[in-house]
Amino acid sequence: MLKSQDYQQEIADAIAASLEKAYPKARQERIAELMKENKELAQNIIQIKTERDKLKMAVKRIQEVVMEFEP
Amino acid sequence: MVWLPRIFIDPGHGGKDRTNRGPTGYIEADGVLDIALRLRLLLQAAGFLVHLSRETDSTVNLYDRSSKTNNWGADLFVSIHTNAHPNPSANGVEAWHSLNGEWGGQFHAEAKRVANIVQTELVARTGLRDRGIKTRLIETAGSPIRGMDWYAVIRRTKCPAIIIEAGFHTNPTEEACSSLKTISKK
Repeated sequence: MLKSQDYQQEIADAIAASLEKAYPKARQERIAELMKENKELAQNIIQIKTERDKLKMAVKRIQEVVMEFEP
Repeated sequence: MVWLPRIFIDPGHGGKDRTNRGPTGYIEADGVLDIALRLRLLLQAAGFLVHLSRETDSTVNLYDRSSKTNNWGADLFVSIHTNAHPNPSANGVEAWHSLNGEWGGQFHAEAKRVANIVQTELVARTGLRDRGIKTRLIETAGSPIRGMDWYAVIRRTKCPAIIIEAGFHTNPTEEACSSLKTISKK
């Protein structure tokens, strides 16, 4: 049995399950951390998109000014 | 600040220490490394921070195992072994926990609590004989570490520490049976 990979997986499963029981908040804490990270990422994306839109507007304005001076 | 439990997994033996073998070819160093690598994936998925004393068949001495654990700031030390006995009929699973180490007895209660949970789960899942949770202290008269934990890895770790003995590789049935279910039904 000790040579069986099924048995080794069973032992790993048993230890993991027992440590989850011993530290029940571990999974929730990890999920909370990931959600916090995701929230920060989402805010960064919004900020980047806002700056991109500003740049687009500036480029458009420059093009309009250039057109005014072209013959 | 989010607290994520830091679990230090210690697959026993390895490298130059590959002498513990079963009668039909099982090598403890390889078997417990396999368990440890599988366990790491499971624990990481469950939200634990995990570190291994070795990830390959390499030599790590007992004191280095404890030092790595302490330097990493582990919350729990889990050493994985399979058992041996001159009597080939010896069988079952057991868990050892720290009682009085070099840092005193401050980790005893937590180590015992975790050992109890692990032992219960191991017995329930494998169907193997429950040998219970255990402690062993050094009794050598005159020893400066008399009264401390016998096993160096749990004596020196600065956190709750347990040793899991996941069956007897000297028991031909426990070593060689190809299916866990075959054993569980007996």
